[in-house]
Amino acid sequence: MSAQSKNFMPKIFRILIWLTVALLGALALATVALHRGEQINAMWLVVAAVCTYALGYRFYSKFIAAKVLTLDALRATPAERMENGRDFVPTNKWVVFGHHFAAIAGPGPLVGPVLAAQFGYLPGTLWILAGAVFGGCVQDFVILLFSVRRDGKSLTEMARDEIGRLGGLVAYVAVISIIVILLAVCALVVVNALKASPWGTFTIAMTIPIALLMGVYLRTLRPGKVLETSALGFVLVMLAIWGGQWVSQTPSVASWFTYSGPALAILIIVYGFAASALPVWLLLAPRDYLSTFVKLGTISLLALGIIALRPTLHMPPLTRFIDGSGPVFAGNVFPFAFITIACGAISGFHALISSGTTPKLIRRETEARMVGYGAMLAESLVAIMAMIAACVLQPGIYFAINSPAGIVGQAPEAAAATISNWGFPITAAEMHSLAQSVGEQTLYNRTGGAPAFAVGMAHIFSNSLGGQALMAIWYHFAIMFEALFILTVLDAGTRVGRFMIQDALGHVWKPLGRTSWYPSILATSALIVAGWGYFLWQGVKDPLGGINSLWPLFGIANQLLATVALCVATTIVIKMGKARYAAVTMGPLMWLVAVTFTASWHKVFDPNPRIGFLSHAAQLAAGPAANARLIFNDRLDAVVTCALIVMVALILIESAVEWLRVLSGRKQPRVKESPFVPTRFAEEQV
Amino acid sequence: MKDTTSHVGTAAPGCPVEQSSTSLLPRKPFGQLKSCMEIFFATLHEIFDESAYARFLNQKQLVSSRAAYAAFRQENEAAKARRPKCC
Repeated sequence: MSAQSKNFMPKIFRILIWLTVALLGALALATVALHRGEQINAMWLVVAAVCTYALGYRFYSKFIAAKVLTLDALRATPAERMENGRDFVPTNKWVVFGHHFAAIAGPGPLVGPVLAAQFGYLPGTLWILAGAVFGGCVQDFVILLFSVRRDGKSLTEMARDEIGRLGGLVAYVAVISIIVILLAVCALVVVNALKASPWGTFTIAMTIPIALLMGVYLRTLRPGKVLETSALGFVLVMLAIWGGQWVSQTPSVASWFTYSGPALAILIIVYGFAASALPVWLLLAPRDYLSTFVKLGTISLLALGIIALRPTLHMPPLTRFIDGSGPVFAGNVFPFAFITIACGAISGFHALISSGTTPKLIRRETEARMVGYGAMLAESLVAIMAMIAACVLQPGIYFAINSPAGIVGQAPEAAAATISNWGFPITAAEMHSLAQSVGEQTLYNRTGGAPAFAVGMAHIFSNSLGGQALMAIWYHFAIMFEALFILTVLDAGTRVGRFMIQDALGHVWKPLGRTSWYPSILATSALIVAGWGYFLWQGVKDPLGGINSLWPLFGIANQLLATVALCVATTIVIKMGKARYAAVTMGPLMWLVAVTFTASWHKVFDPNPRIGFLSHAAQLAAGPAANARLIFNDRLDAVVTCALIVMVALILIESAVEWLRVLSGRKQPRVKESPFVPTRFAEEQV
Repeated sequence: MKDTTSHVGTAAPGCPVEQSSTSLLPRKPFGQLKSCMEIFFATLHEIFDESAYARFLNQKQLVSSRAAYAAFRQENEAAKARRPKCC
C-alpha cells in the first residue's frame, strides 16, 4: 500500500480491518482444528491460510524487517552497484517476486502434502501454516537479505565466511547430498506415476521431441521469442495428451509405451545422463521454459478450480495412522509429518535460490521482504492446495492409490478388503470404475503421491470445467504437469551436480574442472547420474514402494540444508549485535534440529522394521530367503542418514562455538558485509 | 531494435531505472489495471529470459538474429545451467 493511500485511511479503520482478518483467521483455524465427525468445506483451509499469511506478512515479517534486519532503503543493492545487464540487474519488485516464485516452486509442495495426508488433513495443514510463517518464509527472507548485503554471495560462501571453513564444507556436502537424494526421489515419483500407463508414458515421451523442437525453433526460426515458443510447446503437449488416449486404446501401439518400474527407471537414468551431456539450448532450456509455462498456468488454474468448486474434504482431520502404522510411509506424526512436508513449510533448497539469482535482481533492500517472505507464502499456499487435492478424495481411494502392494496385497479384492478394514470403505468395483474413468488399467499401488494428486486435481477440474467426460484428460494433464515439472528438476539438478563435482575435481586436476572438456563432462555426468540412479534403482526394487525409505531421507537432507541456512542466519544476526532477536532464526533452527535428529534416530534404529533401516535389514537377514542386495541397501541408507546427522551436528557445534565467542566478548562481532553505498533510488517510494 | 526500457524492471545498463508505476496512485481510469498488466507481462518476459535477451541486444548494439541469439545463449549458458531448480 502506498504512503499516500495510507494517509487517507484512518488508523482506526486499518486496525478494524486487521482485527477482522485475525478473527476470521481464528474462526477458520478453529473450524479446521476442532471439527470432528463431520466433513468440512475446503474453503475453511483456504481462508485459514490466507488470513494466517496476511497476518504473518503484515506483522511478523515487518517486525523482522524493522527490528532484526533493519532494512535500509538508502543502501544500494548489488543489482545497482554491480549492474552489468546480465546477472546484476535492478528489477521491479513484482517481477523479482514472480521470478523468485517460479524458481522456488517445484514438485515438493505438491507431493509432500499428499503423502502427509495419510495422517489426516490437520497435522499437515497446521505444519504448512506455522512452518511457513515462522520458518520457511523467515529463512528465505533472511538469507536473501544477507546475500544482498554480500554482493549476492551463495549460501556456501556465506557459511564459510561467517561460520568457518567447516561450515562451508558441510554446506557444500549438504548441497551435493540433497541433490542426489532429491533427484532419486523425484525420478521415483515419475516412475511410480508412469508404470503400466501407456497414456502417461506416451505424453511424457512426447515432451522430449517437443522440447528439442522448441530448442531448434527458438534458435533458428524465431530467435529470442521464448513466450511464443513456450505457448507453441504447450499446444503440442496438449495434442500429445489427446493423442495419448488413442495410444492407450490401441493395444498394438499401447504395448510400445507400457513399461514396468525397473524398465522406466533405466530409461530415466539414460535420459538424465543425456540431458546432462547435451547442449543447454537443445533440451534443458526449452524444457525449463515449457515446464515453467505449464506450472504457472496449472497452479493458477488449480486455485481458481478450488475457489469455483469449494469442494468438501472427505479425509478426516486425523486418521488412525498418526500412531506410526501408516501404509503410505511408516512413522509417527512427530517427527515424520514435519520431514514429509518440507517445501511448502520450510525447505533448505530455497536458501540456494535466495542466495543465487534473486539477490542480484533486488533493486532496494526494503523489497527483500516482499520477495523473500512473500514468495514463500505463495508457495505455502500451493502446498495447501495440494493438501486439498488429496483430501477431496474418499479416504479409501486415497489409501488404495498410495499404499504399496507389500502392505495391501496385489489383488484388487484383497487390497480393497484391507483398506476397508482400516475403516476407510472401498470396493474393488469402485476402484475399477475410477481407473476406467481416468483411462488407466489400475490405480492400485501407485505410490509416490503424484497419481493421488492427479486424481484429486482431475476431480476438482472436471467438476469445475467439462464434467466427468473430461476426467481422463484432466488426470493425464495433471500427470503430465507433475512429470514435466519433475523431469525439469532432474535435468537441471543433474547438471548443477555435475558442475559442483567438476568445480571440486578441478582442484585435484585442472582439466577435470573445465566445464567444456567433454571427457570431464561425461565422467562427472556419469558420477552424478550413478549417485541418484542407485537410489532410484533401490526405490523401484523395494517391496514397500521405495517412498517409505527414500522420501524421509530426502526430507532429512532438505531440512539439513535448512539447518545450515538457519545456522548461517543466526550467526550473522548475533554478529550484527542483535542477539536479543536471535530467536527469530534460532527458534525454527531448534525445531528443525529436534525434527531431523528424532527422525534420523527412528529411521536408523527404530525396532519396527517398517521404520528402522537396521531392524529391517536384520529382519531380512533372518528370513528364509535373505536378499543380500536389499540388506545392503538398508545398511547404506542407515549410513547415509548417520552421515547427514553428523553434518548437522558439526555445523551446529561450529556455529555454537562462534556464537559463544561473540556473546562472551572473546571475539569481535564483525560481519562480512559489503560497504555502504547510497542508492540512487532513494527518492522512490517504498 | 527492441526498446528494452519499455519493460518494467528491465533497465539497460547505464540507463536509470524507471520509477515503479505500482507505487503511484492511478491518474487515469483503468490505470491501475494497465500497470498490473504491464507488470504481469514484464514478469513473464523476465522469467522467460526475453528481457535478458533484449538487454543483451541493447548492450551489444545488435538486432535480433540467429547469430545474435546464439551469442546470447552462449554467454548465458553457464549461468542458466548452474541455476538449480527447486524441489
